[in-house]
Amino acid sequence: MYNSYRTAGLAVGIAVGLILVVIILRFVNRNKKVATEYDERQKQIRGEGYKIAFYAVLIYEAVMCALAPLYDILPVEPYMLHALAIFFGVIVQVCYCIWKGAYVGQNTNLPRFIVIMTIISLFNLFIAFMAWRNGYLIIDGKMQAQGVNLVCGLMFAVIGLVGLIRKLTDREEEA
Amino acid sequence: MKNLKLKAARAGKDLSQQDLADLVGVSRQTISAIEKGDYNPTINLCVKICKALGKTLDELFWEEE
Repeated sequence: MYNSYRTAGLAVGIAVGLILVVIILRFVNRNKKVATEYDERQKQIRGEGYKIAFYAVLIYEAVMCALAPLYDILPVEPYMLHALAIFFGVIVQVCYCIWKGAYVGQNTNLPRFIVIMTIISLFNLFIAFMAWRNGYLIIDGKMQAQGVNLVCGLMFAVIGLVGLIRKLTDREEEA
Repeated sequence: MKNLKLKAARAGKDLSQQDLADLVGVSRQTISAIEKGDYNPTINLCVKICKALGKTLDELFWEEE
């Protein structure tokens, strides 16, 4: 019975998450479209970004396999290491695209996008903080599943920082 | 190789990179990359840029020997 409740909860969570993503995309894109539009150079750069992120995740997972004997002394649960691979891949792809000017689409409302990303980042960091305060974040010296929220929050912070640095250097290049 | 002819034509029309980008429907970074020679645009984009600046393909994109 517990497993069926858990499966149903997971399914509802995923469905709500997808609906939220669609709503956010329609809100962030100027023409109310769900799909973000990119020009020809941006599409090419994004393809390169996916390729680099693919190899980055492969290397990450290979390193994690090599570190398998050390899982007992690593400060995170083994399953968390594989969840981190997802964030690692996203950071590589997004940062590459930001740096090459291919992350913000033609129909993206940038101020709205920044606001939404900041809210998501702070929301995740808040959940991680609450987990830490209640003693769920780290148990027996190992980061638990709630660490995903911490990593997600930090990921958005890193992406925001890269975006800010790129914006400043981009101005210098244009001048 | 930098495309100085494109840069000069854009400046001649008193357009910023963003203005030209808006006219042809691409990002400002794409115009910047073309001017710096970091990106080779497709023929479709070349034609759009030429039309926006009132120039021919030869005038903007043909490299002299």
